Amino acid sequence: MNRRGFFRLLLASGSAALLDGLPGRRSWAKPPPGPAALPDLVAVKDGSPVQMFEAGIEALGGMKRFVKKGTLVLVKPNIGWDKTPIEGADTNPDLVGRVVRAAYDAGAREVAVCDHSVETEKSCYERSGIEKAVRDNQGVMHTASRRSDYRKVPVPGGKVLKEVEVHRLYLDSDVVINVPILKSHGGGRMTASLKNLMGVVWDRSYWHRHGLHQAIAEFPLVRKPDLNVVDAYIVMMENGPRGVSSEDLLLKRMQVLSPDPVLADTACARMLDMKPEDVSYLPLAQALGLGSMDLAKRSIRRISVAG
Amino acid sequence: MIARIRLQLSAFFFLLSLASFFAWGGDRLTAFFNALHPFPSLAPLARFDLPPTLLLTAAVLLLPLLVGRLYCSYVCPAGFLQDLAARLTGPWKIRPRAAAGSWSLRLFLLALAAGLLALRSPAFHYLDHFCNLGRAYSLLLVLLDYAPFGPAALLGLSFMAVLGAAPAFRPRWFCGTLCPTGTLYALLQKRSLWKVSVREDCDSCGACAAACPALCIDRGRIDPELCIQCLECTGACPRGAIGLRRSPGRRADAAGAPPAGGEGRKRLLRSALLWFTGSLWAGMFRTIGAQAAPPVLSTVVPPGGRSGSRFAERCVACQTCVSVCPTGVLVPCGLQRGSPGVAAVRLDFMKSYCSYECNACLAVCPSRAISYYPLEVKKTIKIGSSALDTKLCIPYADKKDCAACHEVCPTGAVEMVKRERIFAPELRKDYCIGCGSCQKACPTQPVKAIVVLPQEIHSFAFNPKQHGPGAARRRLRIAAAKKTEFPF
Repeated sequence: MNRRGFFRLLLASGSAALLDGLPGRRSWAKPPPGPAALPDLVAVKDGSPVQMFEAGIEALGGMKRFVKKGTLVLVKPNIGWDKTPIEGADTNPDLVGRVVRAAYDAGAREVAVCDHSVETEKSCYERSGIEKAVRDNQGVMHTASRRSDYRKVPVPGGKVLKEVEVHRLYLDSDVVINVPILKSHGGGRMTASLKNLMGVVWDRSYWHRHGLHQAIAEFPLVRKPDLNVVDAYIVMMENGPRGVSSEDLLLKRMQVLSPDPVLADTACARMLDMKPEDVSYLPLAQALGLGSMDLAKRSIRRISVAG
Repeated sequence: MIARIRLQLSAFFFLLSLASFFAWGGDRLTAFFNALHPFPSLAPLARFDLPPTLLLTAAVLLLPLLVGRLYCSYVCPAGFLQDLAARLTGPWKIRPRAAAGSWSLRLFLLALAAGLLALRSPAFHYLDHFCNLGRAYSLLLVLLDYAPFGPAALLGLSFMAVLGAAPAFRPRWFCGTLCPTGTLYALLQKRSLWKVSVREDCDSCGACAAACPALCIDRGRIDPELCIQCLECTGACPRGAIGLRRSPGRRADAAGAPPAGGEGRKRLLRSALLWFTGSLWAGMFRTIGAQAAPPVLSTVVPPGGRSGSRFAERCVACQTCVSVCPTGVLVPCGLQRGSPGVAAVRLDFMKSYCSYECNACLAVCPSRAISYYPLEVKKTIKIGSSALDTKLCIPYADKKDCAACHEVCPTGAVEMVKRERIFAPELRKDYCIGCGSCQKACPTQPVKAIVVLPQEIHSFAFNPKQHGPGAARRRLRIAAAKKTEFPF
C-alpha cells in the first residue's frame, strides 16, 4: 500500500467509526451511544423499492450523513446479468435511480455507476433498465469491462488476497454506496453487500480458485462501502445468483439499509431462511473487524411503509 | 452526371453492405441485403427449402432480363471497391489493356458454381463474391481483436488483394473473369429488353470507350459479355449515338450482325459442352468433399444448425454470424480435423459463451445453415452437453466452495449439492443446452474442470421455466418462507 492509500484508509475507517458510531476492532460487545442515537440498521417493508429507500435513508439520518458537498460518489448496484428487472437477478432500476438522485440532492459533484458484469456489459446495462434509470437521474454510467480501468492494490492483512485489481472508481470515489440485490448463491450461499463487491474486481476467477469465502471476507480490507442498501423487493430464494424460473423468486417487499455490510448481510441471511453462521464469509469478515453479526446487540429500526 | 450518380449510389450500397454485415440496421436489413445475392440465397432452393426472401431473390434475377447488369454497376460493393482501386491504381488514360477471361472460362466457372449449388455443396463460396466479401469484411473483426486470424481472414485478404491489384491491369477484371454472379447476369443481359446499343451515325470518336469503366467498348462496338450496363457511355457521346434502347429482338445481338446459322449452332454446342463439364467437375468436387468430411464433428456448431453434418453441408463461411455475435463465441474454423469446413464457424468456449438471451446469428444466415428460431425456442436448443471432471473440480478436489459454473448456468443444469460442509456441482443433463457458460467461467487452470462436448444432432432440453429441477421442493420451501414479518 502506498502512503496515500494508507491515509485514505485511515481517514475512511476513522470517519466511518465517528459517523456511524462504529467501534474499533473487537470492541462491539457494548454499543457506544451514537451521535444522535441513530440505528445501526434500518429494515423497511411493504412498499415499492423507492418508497422503502426514502423511508429507510431518513431513519438512517438522511443522505447528507454519507454524502458531503462536492464529492464523487460511486453507486455500485448488481448489474451482473442480462435479465429484466422482474427476474430478480439485478438490482431494481428504480431504486438505483433514486439512490443516484438522493446523492445529487445531498450535494454530490458526480454520481458514477458501474458493475463488472458477468455477461456482456452492454446487454446487461441495457436489459436491467439500470443504464436508463441512471441517465434519467443525471448519473454517469461507466464501463467496468476494460482492464485499464483497474488498479492493483495491496490488501492489508489479507491471507488469500494479498493484492487485488480493483476498479479505479471504487478506490478514487469519496463515497461508495453499495446497492446489491439479495439472492441465494450456489458458492457463497447468499449474495448481498459483501458478495456484491466482487463487481469491482477484475479477476474473480482467482477468488474461486483460492477460497471464495475467505476472499469475500478479506476484500473490504481494501475499503469498506460507506452505505449498503440491500434490495430485497424480489428475492431469489433458490438457484441464485442467476435464477432459472420465476419459481425461484419471492416477492418479499423488503429493504435493509446499514453502514455495516456484515450486519446487513446477517439480517439478509435470515430473510433467506439461513443461519448467518452457515454463510462462511460472515464470521470470517467479523473476525477481521469489518462489522458485527450480532443482531440482538445492535440497534435496529423496523419500519413498515404500508399505508 | 451519370458517373456521379453511379458513384454515389454504389458508395451508398457499399455502406449498406457494411451495415448489413455488422447488422447495424437490424436483422431485416441484413435479410434484405442477403436476398439480393442469388448465390448463397438460392442454396436453400436446392433443398426445397423455401424462405420468403426467395421471392426477392427471384425478382433480383428478373432485373437483368429488363435492363441488364444494373446490380453489377450500381449495387455490388465488390464492384465499387474495384472501381475505387482502378481510380487509385491507374488513371484511365494510362491503364494497360490486359485481356479479361475468355467467355468459355467464365461459362465453365458459372456452371461449376451453379452445379455445386444445385448439388447441395457449399463449396461455391470460394468463387462467389458475396461470401468472399463477408470474409474480407471479417478482416475488420480481426483488426479489432474480436475474431482470431484464420483461414477465413486469409481468404478475405486474398480476395481484397485481387480486388485491389487486378484493376491496375484491367478494370473490373474479377467481374469479367471469375465472378459467377457476373457471368450469370451477363448471360441474362444478352436477352434483356433494354440494352445499350450504338446507332448508325456513330463516327468512332472514342469518347464512349474513354468513359467506360469496364473497358468493353472498342471503336463503337460493345462487348456484350463485359458490359455492365452502367450507362456512363451514354452521357459521354457527343452525338447521342450510343444509348439505352429497346432491343430489336433476337435477330440482332448487341454486336450488330446476326450470327449465321452454322455459327449459332456451334456456339450452342460449345455452351452445352461447357455447362456439362462444369457440372461434372462440380459433381466430382462434391463427391471428394463428402468423402473428406469427417463422420462426426468435434466442434460445437451454432443453435439452429440442427446437426453438425447438416451445418457443414450448408455453411458458406461468409462470417456474418461471427460479426453479429455479441459475446464473440463464434469463431472461424481452422483446417483441423473435425471442423465443419474451411473458414466455417464453430463455438469457442475457451474464448466466450453463447448468450442465453440472444438469437442474433439465427436471423442473419444467408444460406440458412443456421435456421431461424424465435428466442424462446432457441433457449431450449441443446447443442452440446457439459461434462464434469471431479478430479479437477475445486469443491471435489480441494474441498472448497466455488460454484462458478452454477452461478452462470442459465437453465439450472448445474445444481449445487451438499457434500460434508460444502456444496459441489452435479449435472442435470436434461436441462443442459451446451451454451458453454460453465466452461467459460470455470476457474481451474490450465484445464477446465467442466467442458462442453458437442452433440452431433441437436435436440431440445427440458424447459426450466416449465419444470425446473426440484420445482416441487422449491415451491414448498418458498411457501414456508412466506412471512410478512422481519425474520430478525
